Amino acid sequence: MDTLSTIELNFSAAVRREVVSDPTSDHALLEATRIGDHDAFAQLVGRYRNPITNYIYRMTNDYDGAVDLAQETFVRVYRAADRYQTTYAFSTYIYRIATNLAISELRKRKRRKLVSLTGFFQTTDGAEPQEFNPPDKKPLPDTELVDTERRNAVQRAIATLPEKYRAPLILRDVEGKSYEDISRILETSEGTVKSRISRARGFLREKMTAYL
Amino acid sequence: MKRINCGNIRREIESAGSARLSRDAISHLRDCAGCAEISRQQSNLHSLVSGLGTVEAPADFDFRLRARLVEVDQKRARSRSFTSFSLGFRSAAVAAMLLLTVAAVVLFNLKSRVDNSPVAVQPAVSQPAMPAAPDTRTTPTLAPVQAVAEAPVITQQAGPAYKPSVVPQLKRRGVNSEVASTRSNRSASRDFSSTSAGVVRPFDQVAGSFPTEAFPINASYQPLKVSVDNGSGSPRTISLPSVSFGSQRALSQSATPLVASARGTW
Repeated sequence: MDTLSTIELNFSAAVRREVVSDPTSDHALLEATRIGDHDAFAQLVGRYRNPITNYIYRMTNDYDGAVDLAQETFVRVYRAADRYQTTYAFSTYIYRIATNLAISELRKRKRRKLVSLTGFFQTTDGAEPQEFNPPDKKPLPDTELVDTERRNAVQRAIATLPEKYRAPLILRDVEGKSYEDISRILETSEGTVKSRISRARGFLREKMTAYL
Repeated sequence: MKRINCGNIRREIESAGSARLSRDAISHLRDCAGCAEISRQQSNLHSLVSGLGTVEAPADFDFRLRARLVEVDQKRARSRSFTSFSLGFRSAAVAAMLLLTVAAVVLFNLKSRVDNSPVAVQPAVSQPAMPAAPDTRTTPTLAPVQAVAEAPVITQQAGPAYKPSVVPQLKRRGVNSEVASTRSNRSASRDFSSTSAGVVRPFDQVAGSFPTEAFPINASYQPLKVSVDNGSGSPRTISLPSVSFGSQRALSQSATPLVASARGTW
């Protein structure tokens, strides 16, 4: 038996041990869901509903749509519980589903948007139209308003990023995932993830110059 | 060893995010104002993005999700009930469908055959041996029966069951009596209206059983015969065919034509 197979076996055994030993782990809860334990699934939902809703909201910039997609994410997890394999962490699995749903939604929106004025303000690499959002140079009277305006500007700037840059940036800087987790969620290499995050930050810095 | 220049340092700054920069990069930032400005902007940007906060799911999230899951369970149950049919039931259903399809095809073919049959087809008439005179009850004949029996000309429709031995005479040179059918597999008819009446000689079988000069025909196919006397003692017999497919003269087996034919036949 070669080393790689041994490592895989050890990894699977470790995951199984975790499932058996920790009844509150994600894997254990999903195992319980598989045999019909609705409370276990409710615990999983309670654990991930806010992060998933937040992630999809940052991706789509639409709260109601984000809530719908978050629910769809849990429905898919529930439906595919029988086919779930405990190779990776459950969070990687559920974030992958959420990412795919969010990207599908963004593409649907792009198809619906037949003619848009924002198309006049395309990025230099031609990836996605930018919102026409000139910064207001006048000082605002209230600090809270300033913060709100700044957060909105950041959110809008993120929403203009191409989806291939947006997802890794949010996963890294908003959700605080590691490069390894991001590469598993997006099913790309770590090098690609780092490169895309770097480019995403560069784009954002150009757009947010007035606020930095 | 990696060269320390502004390009490399800026790439490191962009990819670092919240992570600490290397010692070489920090020392470069002390000397390079441009790279220091970029580093400052980058850290501000990171604090802005990470400070966006988290959006929480609405309070009724669990309630709505439970309703959707109930729907999913119901759909699953429905699909399971469909797939839980036994293999025998499903194969029987497929066989029934096939049987229905075959029956429909056969019925369609039968119907199309009936539609494609020739229009002027006469049903096969088996000529019965009729030693007696033809039944004239249904024939609107004005002349006496004796005169009709001596009528020299008998018209008869051409039909598939009746094949006179002189059919080639029906076609006159230069006259195309064939009315082409629209399609070869559809109806085919022949127009005898523009041809002269064929001379019909009784078949051997008929002749043997019916040796008279009159060719036996079914009474129902007898034409309308009118005997007219012009007052000078020379009666004329007018034979009106029942169907305008032409007429054929029937001759006795002997070479001499029927006596009445000399009177003239229309």
